[in-house]
Amino acid sequence: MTIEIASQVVWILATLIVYWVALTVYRRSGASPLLHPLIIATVCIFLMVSFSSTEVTDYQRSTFVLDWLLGPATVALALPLYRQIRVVRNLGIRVIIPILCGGVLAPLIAWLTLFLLTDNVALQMTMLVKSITTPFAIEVAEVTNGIPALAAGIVIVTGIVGAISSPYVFAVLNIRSEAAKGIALGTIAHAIGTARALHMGETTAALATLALCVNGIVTAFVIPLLFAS
Amino acid sequence: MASHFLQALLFLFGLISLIGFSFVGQWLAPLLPVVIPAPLLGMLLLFMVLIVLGKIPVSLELAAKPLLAHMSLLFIPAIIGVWHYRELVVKNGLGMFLAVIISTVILLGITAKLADKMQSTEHKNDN
Repeated sequence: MTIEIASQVVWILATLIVYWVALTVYRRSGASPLLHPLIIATVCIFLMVSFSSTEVTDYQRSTFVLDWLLGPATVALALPLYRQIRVVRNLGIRVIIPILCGGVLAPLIAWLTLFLLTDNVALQMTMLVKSITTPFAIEVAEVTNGIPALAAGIVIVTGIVGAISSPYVFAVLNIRSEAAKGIALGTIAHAIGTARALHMGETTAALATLALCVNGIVTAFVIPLLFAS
Repeated sequence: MASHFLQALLFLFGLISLIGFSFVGQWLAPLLPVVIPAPLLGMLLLFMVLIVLGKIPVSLELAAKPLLAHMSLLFIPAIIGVWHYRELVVKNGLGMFLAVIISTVILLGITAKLADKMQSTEHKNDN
């Protein structure tokens, strides 16, 4: 019992410190998507877990408080969503249509590619949540028999690919509208895309946040309705 | 000093409210005829309460800020769990990577182009 509590304190502290270091590195790098704090932190924690010959399951059990806080944190997303109401009222259908199209097509094409390349159904289900924000992705993967841990990983990689490729994609297609860039980044590359949009300007950032919320909610509703078992 | 104490109280109250909505979502989700992830349900309930209130209470604002800003921290235990699926990832890694890259780049383009088209029709209508 005492050992249990000691290992909880040690691993939670270790995770907090590693996260803080990763966040500092990320900020110093000028918010480079490749140095996303989650990548650095996960790799460091993984190395620490391996070198201390701790079981991954034991680490997860020791840090369950962090995992548990994800519930209230997801509920807190209601605040940014509430702040977006006015933007939706002003722009309406012209914003909603591209978000919904992107939100439907992105998982579909990802699923199709994976369907052609592999035969693992759990992986294919997991791929469906790739473009929505991580807390929703984890929850949806759970109710559709996908793999929540992998969902989180795939979402992060999607965000990084989206954030890095976006300037080139926009240049090739000659996208000038700030709003259009924001909508695309938020819909396809969720929070990491939105962080990238922050560097492109205020309109881009506002619309990216809106797209992230709308696509996240719609996808998190529709996919379980279609695929929950 | 007193204001710090007040802030701490408000923060605590906000945090308890968020946890409360999270619990209500968990309790209500299995009772509904459709499958909705429990935290999403909790979020929508809070969203409706905010619409009724017409503003965001200070306590919720205080509690939500650190949770939202550092949500990445809360994913670490979940992502470490990828280790349990290492064989699956090694076997299908290339396929997964291709699926992510292809769909992300193509859809970023399609969504931006579509949004761009719709923005420009809006400007024409304005004139």
